[in-house]
Amino acid sequence: MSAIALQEVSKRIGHTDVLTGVDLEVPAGSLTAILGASGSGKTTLLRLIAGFTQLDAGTITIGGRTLDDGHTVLRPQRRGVGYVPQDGALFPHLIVTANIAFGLARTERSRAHELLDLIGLSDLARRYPHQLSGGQQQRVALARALAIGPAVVLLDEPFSSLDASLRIELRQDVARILRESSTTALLVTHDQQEALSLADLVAVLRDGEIVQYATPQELYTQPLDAHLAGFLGDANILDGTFDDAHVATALGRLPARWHGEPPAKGAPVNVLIRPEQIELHPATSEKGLTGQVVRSGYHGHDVLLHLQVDHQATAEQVRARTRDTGLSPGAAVRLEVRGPVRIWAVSASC
Amino acid sequence: MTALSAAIALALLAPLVLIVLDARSGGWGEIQGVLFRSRSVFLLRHTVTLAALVAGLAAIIGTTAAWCTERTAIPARRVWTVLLVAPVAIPDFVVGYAWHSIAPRMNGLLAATLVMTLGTYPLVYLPVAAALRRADPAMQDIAYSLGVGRLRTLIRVTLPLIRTALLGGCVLVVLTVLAEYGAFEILRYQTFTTEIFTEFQFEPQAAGALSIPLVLLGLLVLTGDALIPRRTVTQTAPRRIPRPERPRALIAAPTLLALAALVGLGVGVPIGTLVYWMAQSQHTTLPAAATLGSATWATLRYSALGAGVAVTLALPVAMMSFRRSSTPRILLERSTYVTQALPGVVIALSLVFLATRYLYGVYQTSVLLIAAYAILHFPLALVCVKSSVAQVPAQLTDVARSLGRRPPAVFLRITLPLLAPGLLAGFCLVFLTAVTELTATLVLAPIGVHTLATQFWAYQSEVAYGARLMRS
Repeated sequence: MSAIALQEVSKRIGHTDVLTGVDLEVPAGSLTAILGASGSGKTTLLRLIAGFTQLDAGTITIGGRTLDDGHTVLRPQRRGVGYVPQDGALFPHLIVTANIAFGLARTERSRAHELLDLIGLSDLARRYPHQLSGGQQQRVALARALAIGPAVVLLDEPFSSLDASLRIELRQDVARILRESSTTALLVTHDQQEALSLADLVAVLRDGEIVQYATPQELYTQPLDAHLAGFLGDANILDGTFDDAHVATALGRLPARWHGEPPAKGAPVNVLIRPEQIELHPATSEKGLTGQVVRSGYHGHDVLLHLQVDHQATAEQVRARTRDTGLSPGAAVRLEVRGPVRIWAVSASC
Repeated sequence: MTALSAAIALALLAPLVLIVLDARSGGWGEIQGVLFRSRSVFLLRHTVTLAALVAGLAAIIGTTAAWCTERTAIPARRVWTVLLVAPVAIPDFVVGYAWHSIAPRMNGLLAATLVMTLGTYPLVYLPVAAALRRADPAMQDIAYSLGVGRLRTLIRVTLPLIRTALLGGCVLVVLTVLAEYGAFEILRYQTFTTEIFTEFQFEPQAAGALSIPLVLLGLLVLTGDALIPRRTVTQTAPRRIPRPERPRALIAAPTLLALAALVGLGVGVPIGTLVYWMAQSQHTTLPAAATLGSATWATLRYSALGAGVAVTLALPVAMMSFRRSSTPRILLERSTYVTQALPGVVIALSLVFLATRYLYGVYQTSVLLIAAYAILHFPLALVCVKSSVAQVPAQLTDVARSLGRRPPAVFLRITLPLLAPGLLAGFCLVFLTAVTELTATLVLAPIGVHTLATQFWAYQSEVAYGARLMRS
């Protein structure tokens, strides 16, 4: 069953079409990320679901209950939608427990302490927001949203104002808290790492439309176009020629995957090969194609190599990941592509 | 909310229209006769010279004092901030009386400059200190790290950060000087305001005409202020700004001495003089204790009512302009600041005109006086309320509603508690200012009603009269 359902949702602010016909179904209990660059309409989408603004067309339902269909608009206080904004927006004049208990009836106030335990901040119950660190503020903001037992929690870039190490820690924590409270959550972010590592499903929002909605794995290996492929991670985009479920590329003839109708035989296509799909073998090996290292970049957990493939007419380089730190520029290697590759008809790429 | 604010703005701007009607009722010949004479040039020169001198001195003193309390770690910082602001609470006519009784032969311009500078530098000190407190000291550190020296950092980084606050403070100083009556009357320094007051007693028609150049001067200053470009400073998340380090004793001692001298001149001299005169004077010249009691009660009541009305009117205007800002709304809000250009005497005259011409029922009632206080001090109330409205970002009320609270509950539990300090500050500020208001009170107080200010005025006039008799 889907917890949140958006149908043909459109919103215009001033003279700008911020959202144009967004369809989205978020399964109950899942953590879904909406991934988009700034200005893509992510925050507007959340504000519509929370009820802080009204849509121009379409419907929004939660658990089958209509929140907004352009005629009947449920006010924010009746939606049961928790909202965690970017900077937490804790009430500055209330201590932590009072912030968490804000949405609770007098008799349920004790629940605030359960939530404090859940977020692991029981010691700080009597602190004021300005006495908390950024990460602690965000945890309290989440607890406050969860306190009302919301059908859905909306997280608006909750980690973006934190530093990197804290962000990773808090991300894991938030995912755990949401799982433990089995709450449906919608997370808005511009950080593809965050979306891929945290979410069960990722919806990519671009120019007011959802262009792809899939699991992180599918999104990463089968992105809709070359632009998205590059946005989601390091990508080698090569030219190729389609040939009977395979594609001929500078790295050989590879099994192909595509979206929709297959291209015509012999049609020129773009090919996505992720760096980790390229397997390296010693130069003495018989497998794969020969090439040599042009440049190598050390990343601690792995090494990113720029490789030039021999005996090819194109001067194109490809990037590959390896754990082998012994390969310096000029070294000869053999490379082989593993697994099927994603292709797009040339006209569809951008 | 917008319609309500528009109605409030209209009511506030009514004196502007009324004073023109008042002047016109005297006839064009009267206006010409009053305005186009050498006396007007004399008054204009007097008024402008004094305003410029006081503004310049107040800017220097106020900014320096703000720097001392905000950017150096002087001991007992909080005490100093209170003491430095204290002169605002002492009415300028009292300060004028004090200095006049110490040095009766002091030159008019010199005395007026001294008294007004000591009385108005807090108007610069307060906004500049607030701006310094808001400004991130990291900016300075960054400038130092870029190899820019202390003086150039002051000029290129710190002064631009406080520029808006400084100019805003100076505008307030100029407007205060334009509006002052009591102190100049005592020090025998003539400005437009004292002239209007004199004319009002002998030739009311001329007073209306004379108000026009005064109002134009005020409007000119306000227009200049409005033309200053302002950058919107984005408020960052609350964070701890480190306190400055304690200065070395060598620097600290002169700083403390200078601040002590300033406070001594601004607060010590007037209070000391008053105490001295109280102890010295014959009991017959002091007002009876009974009238003092009733005067105190009248003062507190009218001031509190005026402050209450001003803050109540300011709340919708502040909420409107902050929550949904659009050009007409901003213009509407700005228009209410125009009353700043109207000195108390002009507002009082316009209300007298209104009552005698159209609403005779309220003439000589406290309604007019309370209305005058509210109109006169509305900008003060609005500034306070607006700054606290900025403390309640829409996001907070959004979140509160998403947690299932209805708008009235959100207003009571989030908006009001966060606004409360600003509302209270606005009330106190208007109240304190109204308590010492002399000019409008002299004109508008119903017959038989005395406030502390008018009592003091009557007392000092008697003393001055007695002194003159003795001398002759």
